[in-house]
Amino acid sequence: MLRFLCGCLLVSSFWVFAEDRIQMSGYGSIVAGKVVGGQVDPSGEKEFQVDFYDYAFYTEDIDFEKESMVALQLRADIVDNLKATIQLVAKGADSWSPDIDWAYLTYDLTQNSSLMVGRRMLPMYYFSEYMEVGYSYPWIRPPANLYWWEITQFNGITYSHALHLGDWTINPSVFAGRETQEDIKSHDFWRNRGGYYFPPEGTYISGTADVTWSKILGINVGFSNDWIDLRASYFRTHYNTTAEVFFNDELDLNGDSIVDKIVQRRYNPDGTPIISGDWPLTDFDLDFFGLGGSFTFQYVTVLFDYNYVLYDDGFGSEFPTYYVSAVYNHDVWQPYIGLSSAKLKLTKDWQGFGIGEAEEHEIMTVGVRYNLGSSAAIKLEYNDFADNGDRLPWYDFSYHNDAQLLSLGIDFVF
Amino acid sequence: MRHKILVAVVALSCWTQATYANIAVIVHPSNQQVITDTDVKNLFTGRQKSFADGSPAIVLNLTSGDATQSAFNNKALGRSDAQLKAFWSKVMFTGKGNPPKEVDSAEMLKLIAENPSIIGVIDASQATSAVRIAITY
Repeated sequence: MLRFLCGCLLVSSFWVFAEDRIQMSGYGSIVAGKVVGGQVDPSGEKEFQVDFYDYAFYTEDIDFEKESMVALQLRADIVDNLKATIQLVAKGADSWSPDIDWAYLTYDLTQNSSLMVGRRMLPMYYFSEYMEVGYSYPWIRPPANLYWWEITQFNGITYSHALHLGDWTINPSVFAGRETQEDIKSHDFWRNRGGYYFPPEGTYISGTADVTWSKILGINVGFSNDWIDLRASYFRTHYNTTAEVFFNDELDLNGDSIVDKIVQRRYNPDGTPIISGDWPLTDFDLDFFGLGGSFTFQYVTVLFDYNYVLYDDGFGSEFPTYYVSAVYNHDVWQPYIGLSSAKLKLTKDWQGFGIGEAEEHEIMTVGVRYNLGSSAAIKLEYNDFADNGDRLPWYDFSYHNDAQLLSLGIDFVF
Repeated sequence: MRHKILVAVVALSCWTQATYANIAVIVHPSNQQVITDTDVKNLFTGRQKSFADGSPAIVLNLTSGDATQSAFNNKALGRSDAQLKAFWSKVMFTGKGNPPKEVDSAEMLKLIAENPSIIGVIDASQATSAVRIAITY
């Protein structure tokens, strides 16, 4: 409701002010992809997941809608030091229904400090804040095995400061807020948590889940000069997932140890839906540590990101992830290569589940960007996803098999 | 074959010309501050918003695609036009700033002659006595 009111307030503020105080701009991408090799997943298809949040994945059938999107940004100068910014985003994966992804007010306290209040992207990974602005980075998408979170935005407050020391600009910022996402399509909760693809009868399953990140509190520090750009980040949040679940009760009516009847039970005795979400696998603190950046040499730009995520959950889950990528900077052609890797380590023995590495996968990327003038770029990219996780069925959390993807896209800004 | 050599020679001469074009960063004559290479890099990429004395700076670029502007981007900022546009799209769509406004060279000279806060780019041969050349590339 609060978000709706903020949105209305911002939209109406754009109509109040004269045209010259409003700037309109935007960006978008049209991407086609097709799985060209790999192993069949338990779903019966060869799949390559590219966007966890919107549950976008490619199969062997060519698809133009999974990652295609367009965004419109309006920015209004309300008074000298106060600006309102709103971004409307429509995605193919979300049936092209426009969402207010960003809506915030910026107040410049001084020349070098500002306060932003409202809805913004959560500054996690190096590319998190502009992961949807395809034109701003070399690849078709940031590595999908790192950028997989169901929460990518938050409602809150950010204070940002800039200091100059010789050639260097140092940019610390602190942020706080919260976010809830409802009916997350991809979060087939019990599938993920149970380590099963399609649970057998007798276990409970659910289609969607609601996720809340509350008490988000974090700090980012950027260091940049004319060829180095580094960013260190840390935040903590309380992570809660809830889902409506059901049980298949197997009834032995005559005591002969053979199931006579299966009854599906979705409600508690008082008639309320059975909701999961209040135990150590679904309600815990998350700590995020990251260091990322870019080095721009005369002909080559090197980009990297290293991150460590800790869950204070029953498994003591830890996610070390990294990517590294190199881009050759010709004016028009920019060929690139990249490698990203993600692991899940279980450090606590949850109910005899065991400890060790539960998930491990890498994506190798090769591609080329061709700049069409200065506001559009065509990209052709090949990705090789390798699932290196343990293959034992009770110990493999990953929901992928090996897959190779070919994608062709055009990114534009206006 | 002769055709190919001719194309290569023309291409090379264009490249040479662009590389050695004399580009001037200009300010209002009343602005007598020393403007370093680092100041230019910081001002034209939005990392710095004021001159050394703390007074606010308004940065102007020549119209996108202008040969002098492209040469400036390459030599002073070390970025191709496309790289710079990608950089600004990241800054713009994360609410952290806006690229410099773009004007043609006549407008550039006129605005800088009128306003002590403006800093801009021009082909050095076009600079008039109504502006001060702060640094050349």
